[in-house]
Amino acid sequence: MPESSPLEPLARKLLLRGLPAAYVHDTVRELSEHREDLRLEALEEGLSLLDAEAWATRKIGDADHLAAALAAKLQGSSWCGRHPIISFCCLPLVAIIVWWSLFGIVAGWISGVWQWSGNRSSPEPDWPLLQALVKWCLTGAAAMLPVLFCWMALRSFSGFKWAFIACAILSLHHGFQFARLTPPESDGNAMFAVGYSIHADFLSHNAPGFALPWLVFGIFALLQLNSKPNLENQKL
Amino acid sequence: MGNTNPSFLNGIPELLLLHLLAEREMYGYELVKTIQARSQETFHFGEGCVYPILHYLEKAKLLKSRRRKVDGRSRKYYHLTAKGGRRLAELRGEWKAVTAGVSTVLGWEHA
Repeated sequence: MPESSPLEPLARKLLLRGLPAAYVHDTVRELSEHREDLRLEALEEGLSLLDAEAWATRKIGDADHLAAALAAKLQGSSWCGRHPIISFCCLPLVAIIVWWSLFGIVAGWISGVWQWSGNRSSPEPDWPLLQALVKWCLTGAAAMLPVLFCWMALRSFSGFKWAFIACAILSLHHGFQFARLTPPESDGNAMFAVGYSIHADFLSHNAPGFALPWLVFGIFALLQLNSKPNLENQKL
Repeated sequence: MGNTNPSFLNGIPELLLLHLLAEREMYGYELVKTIQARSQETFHFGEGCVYPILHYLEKAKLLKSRRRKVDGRSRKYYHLTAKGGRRLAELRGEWKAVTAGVSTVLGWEHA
């Protein structure tokens, strides 16, 4: 990002607020065009080049105020942005239920467990596959749901704060959640257990669930903060 | 008092922008200059302030924008959508009602 661009501080502030890089690029471009019109207007009125530059930057307005106004207005333009508590505190919990329900339908169908539970004379389900799918579902939820909520925060212009809160909720949930499938033994009944626990071997059982949402949030924040709106061609 | 007038309280910039864009498509700088000229410089604001409102209106599908090259310079022009037209009619009605109410209170209705 060129240091010389007068709108660079605004671009930085918008990115720090978690606004999408493409939006920041377009906005800065538009404001640069406006600033250039102001600069030309000042030159026509007889101001020196330096004075015209300073006047144009001043007329555009304070970068802090502008960044806050842009973020607030856009956040208000989407349902998620207007209802962040529902979207980023309650919906993660709903998403977990939906995730497991979808998993149950798909995994049960793939492994043949639904057919088997309806008719015990049908072929045995693929228990090792189902056990693997349960593990995948646990890990997949810990990785994919934070991606979904970070994406939602970006799309709704809600910023880092709400992405952070959603990831914190998901981290707590996945850190303690367990799911276990036990294939049928002598009684012929399989057992599926899901709940919360603190395992004796915390590092290998609980820590990955805690860490994955934070890892996703870290990558999201890093990508966002390292986005460089191309201000070079905004210097008209 | 059951109903407040949120559009009156918050919607003046929206009303002005939608009204001007109903006349013809314009870009940000042009809009600001038109507001200043028609209001005889009544409003003083950082000129960047129109963009949060324009972007909000665009997100709400009340406006659409397109890039056009004029005199060798690319500009982002905004124009009103059908939804924007309906919103403008609503805002005009609310504005008329509110100003009529205020005028009555101040005793200006026969002025």
